[in-house]
Amino acid sequence: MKANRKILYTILLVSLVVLASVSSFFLYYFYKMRNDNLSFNKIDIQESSTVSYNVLANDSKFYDSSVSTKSYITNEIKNVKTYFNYILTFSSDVSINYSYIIEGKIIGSTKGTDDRILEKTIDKNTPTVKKYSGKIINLTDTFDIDVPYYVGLKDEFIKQYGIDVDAYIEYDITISYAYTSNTINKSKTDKKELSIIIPITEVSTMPVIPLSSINTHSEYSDLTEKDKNTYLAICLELFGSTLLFVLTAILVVRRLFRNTSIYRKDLKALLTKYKKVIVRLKNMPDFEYTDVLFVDDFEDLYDACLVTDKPINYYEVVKDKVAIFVLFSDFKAYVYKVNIRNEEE
Amino acid sequence: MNHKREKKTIAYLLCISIILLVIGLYTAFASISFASPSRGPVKYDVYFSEVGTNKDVDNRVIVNNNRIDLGINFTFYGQELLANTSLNNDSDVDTKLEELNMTNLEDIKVGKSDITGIEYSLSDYISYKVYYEYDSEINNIKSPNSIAVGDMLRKNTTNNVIIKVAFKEEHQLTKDQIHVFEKQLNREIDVNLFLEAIYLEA
Repeated sequence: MKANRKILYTILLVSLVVLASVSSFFLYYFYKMRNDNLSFNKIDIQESSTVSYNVLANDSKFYDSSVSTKSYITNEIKNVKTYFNYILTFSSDVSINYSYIIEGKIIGSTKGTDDRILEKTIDKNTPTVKKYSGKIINLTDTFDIDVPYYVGLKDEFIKQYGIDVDAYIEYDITISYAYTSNTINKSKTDKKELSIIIPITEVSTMPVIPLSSINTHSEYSDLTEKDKNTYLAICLELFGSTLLFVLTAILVVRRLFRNTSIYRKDLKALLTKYKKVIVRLKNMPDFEYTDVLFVDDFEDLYDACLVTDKPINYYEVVKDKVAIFVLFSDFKAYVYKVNIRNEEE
Repeated sequence: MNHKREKKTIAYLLCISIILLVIGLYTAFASISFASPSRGPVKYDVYFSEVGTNKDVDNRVIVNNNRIDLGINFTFYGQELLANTSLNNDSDVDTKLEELNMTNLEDIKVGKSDITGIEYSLSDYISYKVYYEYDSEINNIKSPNSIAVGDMLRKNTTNNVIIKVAFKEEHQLTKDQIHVFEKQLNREIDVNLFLEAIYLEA
């Protein structure tokens, strides 16, 4: 086989391996998708929320939740102005209805235990449903937490029942939404809850905020029977192409290595069969003072060897390509040549 | 196998397998959302940057995304707080101001005159204005126009904003208003104001 042809076949083989790998990768990918019951359409949703507060002191000065001081003398707190921001973004347009409820509670348990003996909702807004069409919802609101009022409730409880309690204020912001997406052809409802908890003690240790969170998820359309069949067709096509690439690669490999292997096979057979009469030479024999006579058949050379009682010299002229068997007799060199077959032969 | 036939077989197999691969991938890419991938949820990030203020007036400023809270302690007539900030849109969509919420000075009472019985609110003493510092051709805004609902804030742009809160000059106040102010504890007015801007996709 000519050298440039061999290079071409090698390039073709590498290309086939790459194509088979690509094909099998996608086969695996889509087969897995089919198993995962993933659908043809999806929307990505991201929700991010921030809650922060400013402590408003009795002297009407306020303090930022982001400053290092997290503890305040409870009696010096006039109220806690709480801010929340909830942003919902979609990858495609939706029609959405949303509302939020802010609920403030006092929760208390017997001092030093987890036995809840006080739970009362104090503050609750009336939710209003808002409608929007698009990709972004930006919901922002503030509310005041009347800390002195809650402190008073705790004191009143202790006075009334004579039980010391560990109490805290809990404000929950529950954002509910229902959206309809034409992209995935369905409606979904969901909600998000944000909370802020302030212990009612002499020194109020405020939570470390702003509390921020980002959450991303996807919603998929349901698979129809037609979708499933399409998946199957894709998988079969990719399986077919992978198989054919492998078959083609095998044929190319065969073609690339066959000539060499036949040469080797022929050579090995001769060297094994006529081992006793063959001498392996390290160097090329000297033909300077001899007539070189080529023989067609190794058997003729062997017969000559038996008649002359001289050994057959073996030397591989070009590694994996050309080898010669030579019998020297009376200034004559009888040569049998084994070479790699030209593919055109 | 004949060499020529073998070469032909390789060529046919190669063609068929490439065609199958192309058809398979085309079908997949054309029908699955993987093919026309959703680029993820719209990136939305509109916020006020840190606020810089003049040091002439005792003040506290808190910035939370789309909200600024200002605490100012006025003790002299004519005192003025100038706060510089910017509205930044790092989203991948153009946005428009849908809602602008500011403290209503009318709602905050300062005190009642024991002479006339009139109750004065912050608006009698304070002026509160939010306006653009620079022109922006891309956002079609002019300085020093006031910020207003409908104003544009295109993606990757910034609108510089000035918040001006001023205590009126003595000559701008009535004697009764001065009387009420003079009666305030420590002869000062603590003002807590907020500014909240809600931008949505344009």
